[in-house]
Amino acid sequence: MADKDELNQLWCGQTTGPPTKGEDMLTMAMERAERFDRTIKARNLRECLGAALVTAIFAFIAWKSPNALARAGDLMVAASGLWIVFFMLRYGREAPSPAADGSLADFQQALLRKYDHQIRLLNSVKYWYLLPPYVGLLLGSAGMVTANTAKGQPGWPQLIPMAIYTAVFGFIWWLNEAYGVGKLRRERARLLEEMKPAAGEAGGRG
Amino acid sequence: MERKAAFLRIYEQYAPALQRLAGAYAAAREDREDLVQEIAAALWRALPGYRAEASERTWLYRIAHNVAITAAVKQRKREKREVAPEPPLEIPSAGADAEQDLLAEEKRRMLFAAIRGLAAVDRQITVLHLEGLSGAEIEAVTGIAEGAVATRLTRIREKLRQAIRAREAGDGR
Repeated sequence: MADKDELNQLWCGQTTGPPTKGEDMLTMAMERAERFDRTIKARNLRECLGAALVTAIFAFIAWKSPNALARAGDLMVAASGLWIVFFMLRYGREAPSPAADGSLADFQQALLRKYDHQIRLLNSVKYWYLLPPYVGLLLGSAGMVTANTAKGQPGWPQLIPMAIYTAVFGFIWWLNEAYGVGKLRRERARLLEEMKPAAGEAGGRG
Repeated sequence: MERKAAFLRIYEQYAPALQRLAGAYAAAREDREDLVQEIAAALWRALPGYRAEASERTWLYRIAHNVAITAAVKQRKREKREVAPEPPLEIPSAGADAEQDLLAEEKRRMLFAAIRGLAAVDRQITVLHLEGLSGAEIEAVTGIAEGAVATRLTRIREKLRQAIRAREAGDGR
């Protein structure tokens, strides 16, 4: 079995059924490419609108804040919305998808760099995504406690929203750093495993 | 318009080769079809950037294998799907011819399964070699030196032979 001619014969005789017609495939390819572009545009738009909404809401809350501490916290959350979008647009897109028509070795290296970049980005989520609004919310809550105490009301009800946003932020942290990074690391390991034998055999035309 | 015409010309010329290539990465029919569509979409996106410095064939194979390897890395259920055999094909001929066709089809399945079992680089080299690309063309696609490709091909043939024998022995039990 399996001399060169027989392998070729078996390979070329593959019975896969007739290929999809050119015009139909063109339509599908264009739809896929457009869907991809639309997804990217929709994601960017969502991020910007979300940031604008957070900024607008917390700027309004800051305006109505009872004291300077609460106002500082709310303004910090408002600024965080803009900061996060700036950070994502500036650093999040730093490692674009590798060009599909690069040599396989170059493509693999570019893909690895992309994985590394995404892993670094998700691992630092706590600093650039979670910390600024969280600190802002804590300050805002502290300001509310101060305001309530000054009016002779108990401050402990503020612990409830604090517990809720702490849990939400904790979940986002876990989602990014445990689940997200773990998934990317597994994919990266699979890529390395698949491509390992190519090391040290690169040619000059890549 | 020119882009559409170029796409149609390239796709129609290489569609059977792309289907075979997809068979080296995915066992299930729907996965193969999905992969061919994904490659077609990548081809459509890459067309405006194509410069005639590289041959069209090596350029297309780069795109196809890069898309396929990306899909393979992301496809978690590949191993699971691998064990689900496809239903036997209906072969219209009868008698001894039909038996021979069935045997050839069985061998073909073993060959594709054995190729899918290879490491990605070996799989890529095998596919390119079976598609008739020269050592220099394989180097242009993979970035692996021509000499290393030749050495590797000898080893791959042996691996395929062993894998097919093992499958034949497994089927005989």
